[in-house]
Formats: sequence, structure tokens, C-alpha cells
Amino acid sequence: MADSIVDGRTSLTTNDATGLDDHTGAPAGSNNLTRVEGANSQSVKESMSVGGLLFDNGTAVDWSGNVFYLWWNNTTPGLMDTLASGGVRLRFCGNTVTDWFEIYIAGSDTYSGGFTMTVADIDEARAQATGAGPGGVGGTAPATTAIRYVGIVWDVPGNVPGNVDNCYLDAMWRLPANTPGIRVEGLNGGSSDWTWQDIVDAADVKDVNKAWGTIERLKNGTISVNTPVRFGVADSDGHGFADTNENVGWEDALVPDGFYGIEVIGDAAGTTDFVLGLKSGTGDDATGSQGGSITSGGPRWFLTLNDADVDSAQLYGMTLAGAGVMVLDDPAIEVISCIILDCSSALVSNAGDFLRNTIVAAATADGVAFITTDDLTDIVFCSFSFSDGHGVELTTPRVASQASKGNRFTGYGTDTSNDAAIYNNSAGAVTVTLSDGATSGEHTVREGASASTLIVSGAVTHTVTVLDGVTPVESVRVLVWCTGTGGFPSEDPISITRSGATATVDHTAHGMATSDEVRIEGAAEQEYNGIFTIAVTGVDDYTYTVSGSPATPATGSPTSSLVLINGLTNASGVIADTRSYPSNQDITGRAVKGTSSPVYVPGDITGTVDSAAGLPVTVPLVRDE
Amino acid sequence: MAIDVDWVSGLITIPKADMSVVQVSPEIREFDVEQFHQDLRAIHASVQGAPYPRTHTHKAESVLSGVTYARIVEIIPPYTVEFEDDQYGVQAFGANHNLLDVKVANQVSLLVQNSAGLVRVNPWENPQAGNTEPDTMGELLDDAATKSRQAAALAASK
Repeated sequence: MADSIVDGRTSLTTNDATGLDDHTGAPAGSNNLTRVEGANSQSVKESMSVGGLLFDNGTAVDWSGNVFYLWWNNTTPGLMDTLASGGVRLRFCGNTVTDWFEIYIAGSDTYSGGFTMTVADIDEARAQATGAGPGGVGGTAPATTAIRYVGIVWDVPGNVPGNVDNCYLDAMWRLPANTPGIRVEGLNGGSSDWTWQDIVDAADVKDVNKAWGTIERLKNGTISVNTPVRFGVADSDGHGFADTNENVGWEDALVPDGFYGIEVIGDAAGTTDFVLGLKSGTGDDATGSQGGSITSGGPRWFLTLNDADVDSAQLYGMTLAGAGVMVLDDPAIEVISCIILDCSSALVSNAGDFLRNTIVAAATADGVAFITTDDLTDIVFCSFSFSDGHGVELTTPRVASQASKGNRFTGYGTDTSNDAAIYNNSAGAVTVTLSDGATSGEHTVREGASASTLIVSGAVTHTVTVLDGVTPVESVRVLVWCTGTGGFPSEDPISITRSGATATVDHTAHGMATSDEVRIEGAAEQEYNGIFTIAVTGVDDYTYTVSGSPATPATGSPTSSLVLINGLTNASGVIADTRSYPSNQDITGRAVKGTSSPVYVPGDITGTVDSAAGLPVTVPLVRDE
Repeated sequence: MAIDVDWVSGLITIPKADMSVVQVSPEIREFDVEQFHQDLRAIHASVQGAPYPRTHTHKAESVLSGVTYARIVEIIPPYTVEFEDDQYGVQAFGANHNLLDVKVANQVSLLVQNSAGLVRVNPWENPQAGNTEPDTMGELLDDAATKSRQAAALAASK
């Protein structure tokens, strides 16, 4: 691999387009010093006629999926027909020049002279030619799998004076499907990251020794590109691209959605880094800036950054507009502080950072999400504005516990609708815990097959302060558990069986986790009752260690309640618990200190933990000595 | 063996061995009610005991006008107390209590030994003025006044 920027297309002709035929299949006219690339171009005179220049491949071949690039010129544009009448046409012929299809690409009303690069996908061209146009067919329109000739045909109804050629065709290329038209490899000079300007320079349209016609800087300072670009090589070398504040736009040509795009690749043995913009801060506090923009007003473009061997692929402070599929599911990828406008989809599972991005006018439809991920936790402090369909689809493999940190959804539909903010398509139960301004009202959910979603408000704190008069009391045993109504187990009926010292509890949809504590009560066998630490064995089951050998199964009416606090107060007389509550939760409990002086009469605790605000409780204790 | 509380049935069991023998024949053992209170309090202060309703109330010793009044330990129903069954007597000390009210009937006889330092007598409860409720001083005074008026009226009619 060289440190270079490479034209990835396949040339159809020599630099000077020598050896072209005219539109009848006969050898074309002479070389002409009028050229955009190389030393010459081929030319022909069209005056009060329709004719042109064709490249003859010699045999008909399968060129389906190819995009063609042709430099052409006309020095009498005012004498050409209009676009609608086919002033300039891109023509593809089969094994004979009498069987062809063509599309109209310019005319006296759209073209003012000078070499122009025409870019067109052959399949799109045939569809247009054989369809609604503008364009047409001659003889039998060949299939794109059997093409021998390609070139430009001019319709010049005006009388061109003198014996001077007026129609020119210069270098021509084709680009097979899924092939980058520009490859950016290695480092600039072997040491520096490449930039967009380096690519513009490598393809300099004003240099007859280059003039690729695939990228140029326009007069307004933006960079126009008409071919997919690949950064990096799967080899053991170092590859780097870094730039700021460049605005790149994809040309509106006759190519399909997904033809244009950016791909970054690497190799485990080498290094590949791709950075647009600047990053400030770390973690979830990071912000991005000066990333410039990549936009398209025509065909949708792809962004593929998920090669596992890429060391870093980072987009900071960018505007990404008109994209199709964006594949961002790799830990090496960071997308921070970007505006994502009118894009179709983004896969962000396990992305390193998808942080502080704004999704506007997503190109989605009812029931279709813009972002797909297996874990909403991958998305942080992002803002989604409704256009249509869902904001996020949760996919398999299912992640049972997820977080939505600071994500906002504006304008989305209600629960169960095809426009709900979240579409749980993970085929299982998912709990999404909200925090940092994320609200349950905005996190509306549509459930997919076999899916269920529990949206849990952000973590709040339940504080118990124990006082003797106004003096904090330390080392008071505080025990608080759920009761009454709420989202946690509160005196839920259970059944208990025992094997040895292990009691197994059947507790439907308990929602608890291993190491949680429960209060079991109501079993006729006292050994089953008490406060226990559980080990979860299933969504409906858990176990705990029981003493003795009580009868199995347990009799009576055993119930289970989640214990929220079980511990001793600190020197400030305080003990606290912070967790997310699915809804307001009734609680009850005791504050007791009865074994070392001063001892107190047990104090009762009751209240309701507000799922949004928590609950501060003060327990006054009375001495018992 | 220590005091045990069966939270399901509410039965508080006191082992015979926890009580010292003060008389061999017939066998009498003494039971420290204050220590009993402390033991129950410790049980309540444990993780396993804290969730359950209180077993008892306790009023510490208090000094009124130089006189020390005994502490009071009162077991709260539905809790009950059972002395380990056998043929012996239990002599309680250390506090006034209601053990006799909550004791499970068995072969054990309980010597309560409460000291009534202050006895509640209904006629002397307050307030008295204007109080003509039955069994109150107000009623007695009201009755006396009525009888006095009736006597005066009878004397005047003669």
C-alpha cells in the first residue's frame, strides 16, 4: 500500500479517448486538442444532425450495476436542441449500434458550454429510457447485461458554420457496484492525516494530468463529490483522515440510493483512524464541534463505519443530511453533537458514543424506526423530533435492563401506535430506566411480538433521618419494605417449596434481581418468614436460604415484599436508598435501637415514595431506659 | 436457650433454665421482668424482629416527690407468654407487669408480686366539678345535694 489517494474507477478508453466510433459504428473523427484530460479528446461535427461518439468494447458484456463517467463538451450549445428534446444524450448500445437506449442529459436550455462530467448508473438509465424518460430507445433496447457501446449523442438542429468539430468526448470510466471511486490510503507523506483538500488536489479537475471529475471544490467553498469514497486499507499499515469545517455534498446524478457514501475499513494488524470535527470533554459530558457537513439533496448516501478493525471513527459536531443507511455499531465509533437531518436509518448497537445528537425529519414511515439498537443505553442525551414512524427500535439480542439518559422524544405518537417513540422488537421483556431529564411521557412504546416494556422513571432517593429530639441517632437499625400500592412487590402472594436449606419461591413477574432483599411473611412455618437475600433463578422464581427443616411446601398464606432499606444510620442519623421506581410506592418500616445505650422505643415509618421526587422521612425516637 | 418469639402465633416462650431456682421444694424460680423487657427489645432491634408489631410496652422507673415508682412492662395482645411447662412456680420481680393476663395456662404457677403504689379509685378521678358521671365524686356530691334538698323540703312541709 502506498500513501496515496487513488482513482478507483475502471477506464474505458485511453486518456485521449482514441479509437471511438461515431454513432453509426464507423471510426470517429480526429483527435482534438480541446480536452479536459490527457493530451487530446475525440471530436466530431454535428450540424443539423443527430450523432455522436461511442466507445466500442468489442463485445457485449455485462455492465449491469456499473456507474459510467464521461467527460464531454460542445462548442455550439446555442445550436443544440433543448434538454426535453434531447440536446445531449447518454447512449448505451447492444451488440449493434442500432439497438440502443439513451437518456437526455443536457440541452441548449441547461448547458452553456465547456467540458462536463456526466455520471449515470446504467440500470437507472435503462429504466428511465424505457420508462417515462426523458430518453428513448432505438431498435431493441439492450439489456444492461449485454452492452458493447457507450457514448454521447448530440442533437444539433442548428447550422454550424465552417469545417470545425463541435462535439467532443474525452476520458470515460465505469465503476462497478460496491466499488469505491476514490480510495484514501495510508497517510499524507507517510506521516500526516489526509484531508478533504488533499482529495480535491489529487483529483484536480483543472490539471489535465488528473481531472478525475469525481470531486471538486466549488466556487462557494463546498466540495462536490460524485463517487463513493473509501478510507483505509485492510493491511498492516497506518491510515488516517482528519478534517474540520469542510462542507461536502454528493452530486445529484442518475445513481441509485446507496451508491454514494463513505466507508472506513481497517485491519487488525494496522491502524485506521477517521475523524471529522473536534471533541471536548469526556464521557457523557463530551461535546463535538467543527465537523462540517456531509449532505445530499438527491440520492441517499451510506455511512459505514463499523469495521471491527477500524481503530477510531469519530464524527463531532457535524451535520449529516440526506443519508440512507448509517452503520455505526462498533465500539470504536463516536458520533457526538451531530445534527442528523432527513436520514433513513442508523444502526448504533454497541456504538462507543452516540451522544448529544439531534435527529430531525427522519426519512421513516409508519412503524419504521430511524435508529435500531439492542440497547437504548447506547443513545445518550439525544433529541428526536417526530417526522413519521418510531425514533428507536429495540432489537435482538434482547437487553433486559436498559437506560435512557437524557433522551428526548418530541411529537411522537401514543403507546401502541406506529408512531410511538420506541418500538420494542426484542421479543422479550425490557425495562428502560430514565434519567437526566428523560421523561416517561415522551417514552411512548409500541410492543412487538412477545415483547413488553417497562418504562421506569429516573432514580430518586428515599431518605430516613432518625432523631432523638433534634439530635441525630447513629447506629439505628432501619428496615423499610414495600406495602400497599406501587410498582414493586408488595405483599405479593407466593408459594414456597424447600429442598435442603434452599427455599424456592414462585413469585409471578417479581421483577427483582439477585441480591435484592425480600420480606417473607404469612407462612405458617416460621422458618420461611423473615428478611432474606434472594438469588433470582427466573422471571417468576428466586431462592433464599432457610434455616431448619420446615414442611414443604409452605402452608398458610405467604407473601413477599421488596425490602428497600435494611441498614444502620450514619453519624448524621441518616440512611438512604436511591433507585428508580416504576410508580409511586407505598412503604412501611421500623427504626429500632435496642441493644446498646441509649436504647429507644421502636419508631414506625410509613409513607409513599414519589417516583419523581423520592421521599424524605424523619423518625423521632423516644428513649426507653 | 433463650427467649423465643413465634411471630406466626404470637407466642413468647420462656425457657425454665433461664430462671434461677430460689426454692428447691416445692420448686420456685425467679423471673426478672426487666431483663425480659430487655431481651424482647433486643429481639425487636434485630433484622428478623424489626418488622413485627411490638410485643410489649415499657415504662421506666420514675421518681415522684422523692418516691421511686417501679417500671411497668405490659405485654400487648395478641402476644402470649408461656413459661416452659413443668411443675414449678415462678416468682416475678423487677417490674410491675401483666404476665398473668397473657400467660398460657399450664402447670406453672405465677407469683405476680406487683406493687400497687398508686391505686386508681373511680370517685377520686378528676375533673370533679360538674361531673355527675356514675361512680364519680361529682355524682356523690350531686346525690348528697339532692338528698339534702329533699330533706329540707320534707322538713318544711311538716
